[in-house]
Amino acid sequence: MTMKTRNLVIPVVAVLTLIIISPFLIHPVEAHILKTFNMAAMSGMNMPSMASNVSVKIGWLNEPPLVGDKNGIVLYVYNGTDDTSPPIANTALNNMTVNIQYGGQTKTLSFDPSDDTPGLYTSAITPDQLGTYNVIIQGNIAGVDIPATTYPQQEVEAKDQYYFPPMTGNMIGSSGNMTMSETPAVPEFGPIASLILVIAIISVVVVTGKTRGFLKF
Amino acid sequence: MIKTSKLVIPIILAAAVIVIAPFVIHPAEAHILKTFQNVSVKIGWLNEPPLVGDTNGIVLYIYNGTDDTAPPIANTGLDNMKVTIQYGGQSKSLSFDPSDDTPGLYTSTVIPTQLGTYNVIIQGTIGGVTIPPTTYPMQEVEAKDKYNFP
Repeated sequence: MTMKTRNLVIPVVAVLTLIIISPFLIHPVEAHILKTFNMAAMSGMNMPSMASNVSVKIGWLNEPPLVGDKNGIVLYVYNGTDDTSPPIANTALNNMTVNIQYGGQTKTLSFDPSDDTPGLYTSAITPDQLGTYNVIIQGNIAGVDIPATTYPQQEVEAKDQYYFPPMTGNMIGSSGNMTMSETPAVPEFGPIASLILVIAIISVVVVTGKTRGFLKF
Repeated sequence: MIKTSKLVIPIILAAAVIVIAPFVIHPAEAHILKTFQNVSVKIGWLNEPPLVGDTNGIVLYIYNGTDDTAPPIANTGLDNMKVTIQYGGQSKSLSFDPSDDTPGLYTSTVIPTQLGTYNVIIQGTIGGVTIPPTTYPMQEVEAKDKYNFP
């Protein structure tokens, strides 16, 4: 192997290693994503009611999103380039289409403006599959054209890793059907055990008292 | 003999108190704040009352002072801390995310699978202050049945 070939092999191996490792290192999507859209320059037109920049931030209502849990998509609209800009309340989505996509399936979402937080819009959704969902927005907000734009959402996870203690059988007091795991059961000693213990102690005291004669009843 | 019989009644009374206590005393309440020198840590369930099988979480607030009106310690408060949740003989180390919206707030998702009292134990250092192993009893996890209506 010549020196030149050896010099090539090391960077190639390093790049290949990086390609193999990267899917495990990089989390596919993170929390809420903000994107900014600009209005194309319109010469000779004076439209003070129209925004020049609009920002849209989208994410899950509850994070981490867990499969089967009621959740929602939250969408914030700002009249500016970041999330400190003034919000666009109530009417921002009047000319917008918002779809959620998973695999080959798409659903159009219907959003309600928040009563408490101006610029916040929510749409309820229960993710029933693991993995990454995309939200795609398109339309017009305050005069700014929004081209078809994809927001990858934080990955929907299984609940198993959040169970504590790990599932060993049916949950007492839970209405739903829960899955079982192979984890061995750990016995618990509740109030019944202490009740039995105290009754036993009282019985010993009473019986001893009766037999030794210091209890007369 | 009289002396011995005088002893029996207090013993029986004490035993009765021991029997009744678990049913009368509620083991833990809402969010608990504890102060370590000039750092305060408040811990509780995210959703209360915590219901068995429901997705919930442990919320942890850190303040740079002796009460919850002190300035929060945001983002890095738990960098040198170990937080575990305990139920019966089992414990699990929790991983917390700082809140984007509320400085000083950290959350960790937990789905309680058993009824009863869980404990959260913290240990480490926050802002140079040593936090010894400290137990926070959490509000009791309840059955969903009593909240079903109709």
